[in-house]
Amino acid sequence: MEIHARYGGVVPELASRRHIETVGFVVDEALKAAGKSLDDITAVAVTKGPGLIGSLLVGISYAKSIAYSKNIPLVAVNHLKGHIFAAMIENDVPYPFISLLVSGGHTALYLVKDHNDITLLGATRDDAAGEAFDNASKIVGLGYPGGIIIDRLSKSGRADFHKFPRAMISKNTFDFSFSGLKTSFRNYITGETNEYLEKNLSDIAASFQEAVVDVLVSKAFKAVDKYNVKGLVVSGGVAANSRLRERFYEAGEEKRVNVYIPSKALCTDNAAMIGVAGYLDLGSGTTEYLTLNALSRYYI
Amino acid sequence: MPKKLAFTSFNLSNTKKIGNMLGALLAAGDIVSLNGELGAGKTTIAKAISTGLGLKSDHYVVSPTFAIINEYHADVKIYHFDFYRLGDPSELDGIGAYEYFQSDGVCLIEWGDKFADALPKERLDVLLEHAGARQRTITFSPHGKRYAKIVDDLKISVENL
Repeated sequence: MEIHARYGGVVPELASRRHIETVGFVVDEALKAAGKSLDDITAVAVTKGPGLIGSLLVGISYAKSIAYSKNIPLVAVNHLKGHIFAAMIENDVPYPFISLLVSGGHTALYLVKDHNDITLLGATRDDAAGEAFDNASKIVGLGYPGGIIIDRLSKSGRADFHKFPRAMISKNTFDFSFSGLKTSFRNYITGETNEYLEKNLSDIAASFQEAVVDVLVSKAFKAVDKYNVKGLVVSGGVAANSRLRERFYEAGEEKRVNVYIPSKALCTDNAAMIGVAGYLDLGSGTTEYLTLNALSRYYI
Repeated sequence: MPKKLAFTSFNLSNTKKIGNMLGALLAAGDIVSLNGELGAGKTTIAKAISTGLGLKSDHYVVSPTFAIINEYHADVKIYHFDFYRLGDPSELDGIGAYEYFQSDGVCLIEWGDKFADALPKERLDVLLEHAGARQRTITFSPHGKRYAKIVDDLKISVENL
């Protein structure tokens, strides 16, 4: 994390080099913590995409070599599916359910009828929710990671201090848009004095955060209504936001919908979610190791 | 140095039309650097350029800030970059940027001016500047003959808007 924070994000070249350096240690550490050895492993799950080719290839090459040496199946996993099924690690979520995936790069709603029957209902048309947090933090000069900074600051702020636009909240679509909110936030900030901003920073942060969370809550429950499901899974890095968790649990109670949000460590990118998604899709495992390739562009 | 061309766009739909027209003039192998501060409209114009290149409306062109590179497949491939989170030009090699620059697609590069020296010498620079809440000044600076011609053609299209 420190290496990423210093550069304001995941710096790809650096990241793929770090992947090469650390993948072996991380796998050894995980096996040790689980009290297992490689001989106990019966299949290997690995992220196929979407993502940066360089980083993906490191994982795929490493996974291929384990699978080949142990002669066990290799399961290719879509990173986005990993986020959706992260909820299955701590809960047995019955199908069908609605999944809201919110992260730095993705904001999407899915109808999940089975682990292999997933329909995209809507997605962001411009910026992802996580990016909105990062941008807002940058605009007020607070740096990275924006989500955590805004979250912390908002705890002592008033969410109704300023009304930022709720983009596409009332339109008849499951798509999202956060670009207008970014511009509106920027215009608001540039129109105020530094003294005013400093004095009201936590109120402004809380108001911004509320605008993002409002849209997410409203769209997700609209999808739950429309498809008449009983469960809602919220996952991805932004689902670690404490106000978001609070609002989703509250709304779930009020509307009698079972809301499942993985614990914070399982919301941000992690390998356990790839493991569980791979486990659900074990049938697609292959020993034709050479056919598996990384895909930078890989949708559900 | 070929002539720069500057327009004032009065609203979003104006900016989109200019982007569409530019997209219609581009072809495989072209490089466009999209510059301007946060919220200036770099992703908006990238989206409009992609539409002009023939990308269907069911493909959502989204911000590549997090992903660094998004790929779209229209009649030509579109490689949509964002250098915002990169710290150093040496990182371009690691993301395969030089291979993308030499490839069969159109490269649209947000924050390309961060590493202008690392970009191909022949390219089109587009600068978007806030000139009010909705209004933007859009400046096209061609580098090389091909891009000077594109800007000349764009001028004619926009004047007939």
